[in-house]
Amino acid sequence: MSREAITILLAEDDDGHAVLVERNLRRAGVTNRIERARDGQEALDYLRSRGNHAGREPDGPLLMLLDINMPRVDGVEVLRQMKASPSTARIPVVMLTTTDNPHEVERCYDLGCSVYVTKPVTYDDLSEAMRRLSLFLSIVTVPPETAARGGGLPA
Amino acid sequence: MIRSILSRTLLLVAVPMLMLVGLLVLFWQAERRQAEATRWSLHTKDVLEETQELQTHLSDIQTGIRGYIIVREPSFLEAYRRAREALPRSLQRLQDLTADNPSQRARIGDFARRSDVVLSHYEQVITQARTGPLPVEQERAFVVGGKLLVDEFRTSVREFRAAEQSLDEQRQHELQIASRRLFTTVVGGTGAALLGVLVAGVWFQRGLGGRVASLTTTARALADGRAVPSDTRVDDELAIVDRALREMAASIEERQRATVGALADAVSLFSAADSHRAVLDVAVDRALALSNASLAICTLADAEGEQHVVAARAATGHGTPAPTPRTAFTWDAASEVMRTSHPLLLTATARDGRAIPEAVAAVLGAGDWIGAPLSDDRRTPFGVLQVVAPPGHAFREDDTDVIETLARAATVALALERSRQRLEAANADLALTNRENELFIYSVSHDLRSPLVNLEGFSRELTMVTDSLRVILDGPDVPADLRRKAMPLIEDDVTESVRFIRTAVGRLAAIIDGLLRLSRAGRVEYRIQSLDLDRIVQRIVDAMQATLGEVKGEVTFAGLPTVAGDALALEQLLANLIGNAVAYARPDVPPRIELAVEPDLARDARFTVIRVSDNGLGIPEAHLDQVFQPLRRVHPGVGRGEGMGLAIVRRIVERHQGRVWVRSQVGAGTSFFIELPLQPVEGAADVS
Repeated sequence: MSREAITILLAEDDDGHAVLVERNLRRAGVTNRIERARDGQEALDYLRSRGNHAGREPDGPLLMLLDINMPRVDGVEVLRQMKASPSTARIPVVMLTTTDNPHEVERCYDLGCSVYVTKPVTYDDLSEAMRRLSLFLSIVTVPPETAARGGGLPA
Repeated sequence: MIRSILSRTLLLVAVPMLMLVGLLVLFWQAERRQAEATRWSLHTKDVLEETQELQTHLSDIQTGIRGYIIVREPSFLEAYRRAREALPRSLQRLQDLTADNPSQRARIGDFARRSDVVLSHYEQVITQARTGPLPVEQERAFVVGGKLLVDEFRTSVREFRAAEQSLDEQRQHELQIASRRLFTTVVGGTGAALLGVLVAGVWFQRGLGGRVASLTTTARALADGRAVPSDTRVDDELAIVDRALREMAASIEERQRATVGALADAVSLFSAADSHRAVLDVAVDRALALSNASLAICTLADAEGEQHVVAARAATGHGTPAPTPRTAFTWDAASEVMRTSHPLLLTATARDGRAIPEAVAAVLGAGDWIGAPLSDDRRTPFGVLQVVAPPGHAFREDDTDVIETLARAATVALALERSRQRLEAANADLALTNRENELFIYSVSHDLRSPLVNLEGFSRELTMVTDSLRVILDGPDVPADLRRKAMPLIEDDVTESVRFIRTAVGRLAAIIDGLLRLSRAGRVEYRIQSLDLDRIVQRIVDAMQATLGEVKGEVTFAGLPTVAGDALALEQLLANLIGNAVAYARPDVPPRIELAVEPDLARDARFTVIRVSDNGLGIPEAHLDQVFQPLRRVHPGVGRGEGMGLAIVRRIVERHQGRVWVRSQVGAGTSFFIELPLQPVEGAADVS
């Protein structure tokens, strides 16, 4: 399972955010394939190869960048469903959100997210977060079970 | 020593009475003596008259004899014979009159002998003369001899008279002396009696006056509620009055104390009552106890004037059952209390005068009745507190005052309870509004963050694009003309625009962050524990060491108390205040910040107050009431921040059930006062 083989699924309803995240990841040296889901429902569809993604063949390991505030199905629900299903429970999930509510953070960790990254408003912070995220991607090749919470990365 | 007022009074009457009796005896004696003397005086006069009679007879005898001898006329002899017959009778009378006086009586005996001598002499003369004319010598001898005898007799009679007169004079003299003595006695006795009365009066007044004065003092002192030692040395009627006074004062005082105590109990019970129903229950309970009534009820009047029982309490042992709540009745006495707003005492007798409806009698029994108005805020009675005395027990007049006072206290308690409920409702509303506001602020700020990320991110992208453009334009294959035209656009217009956008975005982000912080201050859950403020402040000062060093600032604090609060919240609170003090220091004046405890400013013993003072810019008075409002900045040019710090401070203090206020003087400094609980307060941990 090579690092390049990992596909990043970015579940983000805000196009701007999606562009910024993708650009900064690229700028930080991330070359992985990045798939975009526009909300929680589409992210779940992608994982289960249905809806818009019906017929998609699972093609290698996945990493989920998950926004929380999304229409239809929010990120927390996506996380909950992913962790509840054995087929997706091992996929590492990075929560990426504007919320820094400690309750929310705690809830996500309780549900089994790997990292919780608060979307900073300032560009430098965002870049730093993306850089750390790419660093995380570089060590996430270990099995998801042992990819400890946060893996020592600051949120 | 005579102490009793009765004996004193008797003495006061008895002394003159006795003296009067003595005087009367003296008078009576003098009167008797006088009568005796008068009798004796008359007696003497009788004796003297009789003596005169005797002398006349003697003269008649002498003259008759002499005439007969000289002219031999028998008529003379006739006069002689008449006198001679009268003489023994006269002597006999004298003898009777002088029966009590032996010396005079002896003289009368002498008179008798002499009269016999004289008469026998003259009888001899007559016998001689009848025989014929007498020789001159003999005749002369006869006459002279008779004259001598009669003269002797006369002398003896004169002596008798003299003796009798002297006796009379002696008696008169004695009488005069007795009169004089009587006069002296009367004057002296009267004087002595008057003096005695005077002395007794003064003595009486002295003793009694002193006692009355002391009794008056005692009465005044008792009326003023002071204790006076009783004088145990005397035991008179006033001492009985004194004891009665003391007993009365003690009884009044005891009753007063009991009443005041019971009313105080009632007030504290009222203050503990947490519902209208509880207040009314306390009212009937206390009314029962305070007036020794057998029944106490609270009634509320409806529009028709019908009284509805809302609380009732019956004393045990009187057999009168308490009416069940909602029992209704109409009675003009209760209506009168409502109409006049004045309490009313009806004795059982007075109640007889009023026709009592069956329903009222059934509820209220038949004893003495007191009704006092229960009034609302506008002083219009809405009900009546009523008590009924048990059979055979009468209410006192002051029971009315007690029940009225109780009714007033109940009214106040009801009003307080109403206010408390309103306040609670308002507080609940406010807490709800607060929570809603904070949720709204939170979600709005949160939603605003999302577009901000784009604004910030893409403005940065633009900057990077212009950087790239600048590199491209600097390339060797770019015509100089194009470069000259394009570079200013990139360098000035685009860069400046982007800078403005970025500044605005930064400011917007700060405001949103502030709002989020504020909403979090209101929403974050507290863990209330005992916190040593000295340690918290020390921690803050340690963290701010660098900043303080830059401005040569100094924070002094000592002896700050241990309070009950959330550690993070209180640290944030104090850090905000200290941070503000540093941020709003006067230029070139090193900030001096002092934290001190001001327990006297706390609302009660459950709280304490921390004062945070600085020597900074100070806050203009016009802005003092705005400093705790969010997004309000008093010194726009100074320091950073979005005006959230003090709003957060207020929120934290409020969530600790405390208060915060500020005093300031422009150019001298500002003092913030933070009231915090010493022990956990109910509701402090609520997210409100």
